Amino acid sequence: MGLVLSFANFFQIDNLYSLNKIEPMPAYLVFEKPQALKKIANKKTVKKQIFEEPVIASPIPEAADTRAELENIKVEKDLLLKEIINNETKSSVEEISFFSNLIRDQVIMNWKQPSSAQKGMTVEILITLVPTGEIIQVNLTKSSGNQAFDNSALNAVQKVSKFESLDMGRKLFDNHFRKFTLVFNPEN
Amino acid sequence: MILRILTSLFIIYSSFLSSDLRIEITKGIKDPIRIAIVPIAWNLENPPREYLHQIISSDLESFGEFVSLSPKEMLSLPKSEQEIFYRDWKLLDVDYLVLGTASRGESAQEIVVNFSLFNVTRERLMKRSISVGSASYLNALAHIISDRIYNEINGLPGISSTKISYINQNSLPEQKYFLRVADIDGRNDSSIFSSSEPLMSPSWSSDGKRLAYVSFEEGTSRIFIQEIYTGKRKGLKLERGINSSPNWSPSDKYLAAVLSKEGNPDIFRYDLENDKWKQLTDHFGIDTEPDWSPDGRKIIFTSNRSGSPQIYEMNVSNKKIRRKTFEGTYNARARYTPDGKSFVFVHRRDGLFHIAVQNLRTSKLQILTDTTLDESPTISPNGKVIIYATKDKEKDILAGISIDGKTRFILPTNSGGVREPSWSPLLVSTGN
Repeated sequence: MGLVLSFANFFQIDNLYSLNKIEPMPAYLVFEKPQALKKIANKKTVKKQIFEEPVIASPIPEAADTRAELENIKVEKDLLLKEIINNETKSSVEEISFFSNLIRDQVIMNWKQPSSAQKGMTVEILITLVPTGEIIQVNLTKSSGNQAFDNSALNAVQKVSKFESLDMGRKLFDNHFRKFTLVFNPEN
Repeated sequence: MILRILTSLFIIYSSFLSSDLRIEITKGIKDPIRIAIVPIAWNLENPPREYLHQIISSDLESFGEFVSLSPKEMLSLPKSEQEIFYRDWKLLDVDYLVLGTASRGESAQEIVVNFSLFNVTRERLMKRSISVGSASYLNALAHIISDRIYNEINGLPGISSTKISYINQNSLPEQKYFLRVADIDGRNDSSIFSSSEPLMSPSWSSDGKRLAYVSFEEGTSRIFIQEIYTGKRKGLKLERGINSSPNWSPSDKYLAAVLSKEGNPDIFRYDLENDKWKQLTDHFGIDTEPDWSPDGRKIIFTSNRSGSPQIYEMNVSNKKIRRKTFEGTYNARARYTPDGKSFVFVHRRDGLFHIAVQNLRTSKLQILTDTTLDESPTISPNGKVIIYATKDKEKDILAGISIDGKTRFILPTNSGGVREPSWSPLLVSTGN
């Protein structure tokens, strides 16, 4: 019930329901204010504001019963949802890229390739982090077949032991950086 | 109805949000590996003068891949695994640690070294090994240990136990030529044959026990095979004209060489079992400087059949020949790399002769040296280092360069000129 109301706000279909306030929900989608169909500069502040506002339940009138109206709503909703996904993913993609580069640089700085390293060799290591950037688990998920090469990658990871400057939102961390794979693949 | 649609959209959207992130690492740092070799403790009343840890350090540092910590810088000198305080070594940025003890073996002449290699970063034992050697020649024992350490860390054979053979020419007091063999660290340099007539083109057998070379002692060029440790010599069946450029097959059953008995220099194959020559190339140009591929199926050689010296590769079984070099007007003296995928050779650019390496599959050519009168490259059996002849002012010297071009060095050699270096195969098993 409440979910439907929130969506309604999102899509600015205020005339369908009479609500006085924005209704924040503990559902992921609804964490921006209705006007945030454009990018929000500081998500953190927005979050804060939302949680401070109380949740209000209101009686819901009957939904539109003509088929045409239903179709219209569906099309509008699809388009608006697509736009939101684009905006949301775009900022996430940039952030993911930024932190991935930070991680990559820190690993590069600590990786001494062995003499036997050759193009085509690949070793994959699954890394588990805690939000401080500390590595709490290392799993060799794909060996290169060359022990010295595998060891050099494991050494590099061990040397890093804690990634610096990974201050990202909790959500981004949980979704992408709590567990990720490092693929060591020399290009020389 | 709407609720259902919206819920399904919500589910799709949320799965959009978390992904299995893969971060690709395509390069690392070129810094040398830092190793600390704690001075080996002797369990003997009269420990020998040689310091094993110094020889091992110097072996590992020879070609730029390692840098070793001086004992003066060590915060502690552990004698066993229990005494290792990893933090001490991490502070010094050490990657690997070696501890060892040496004691007398079964006979008075025998020394047994028990050593352990530790990975400091991951705080674990990597390898434990027992190495046995003669007390009268501790260098050899140290080289075996160095090679085992190198192999464990790098996954490639170490070359500290290998040797180099070369021609030394002296003019005073009189003209004399020497065929010399030395350990790769320059020690134990000795002459295994000398002559007042020219000696040329030494080539190591694959088993490391013999050298083939050209001698003019009979007034004309002839190929000889000499057993290094017994001195026994044998001449190949002499043919009229040029007999030169011997090169052993991987099986040591054949030698590729150059004969001009058919009118112009061509590549021939000598069968050691029945002393017979077989012609492999037949062209009116000059075919010379053959080298067998590591798998024994091909021979690479220099030919001027196109008008200038270029590198060609021949399939031994069907005699099919393919030209390999197309850049520049002088490409000669090719030698396969141990993996058979590339060859090192002499390449002339802008009038200057450099050592270059070319990939057989991609034909990508890379000039390695910036010295300018380079010749006769020979490559180490692990493919990591090249030694070649060049000039320093007027003097003929031997120089070296790592295959990545980053480390260069000059071999200390004796008086007179030195030429035509040939790197031995791996001589001591580095297994276990």
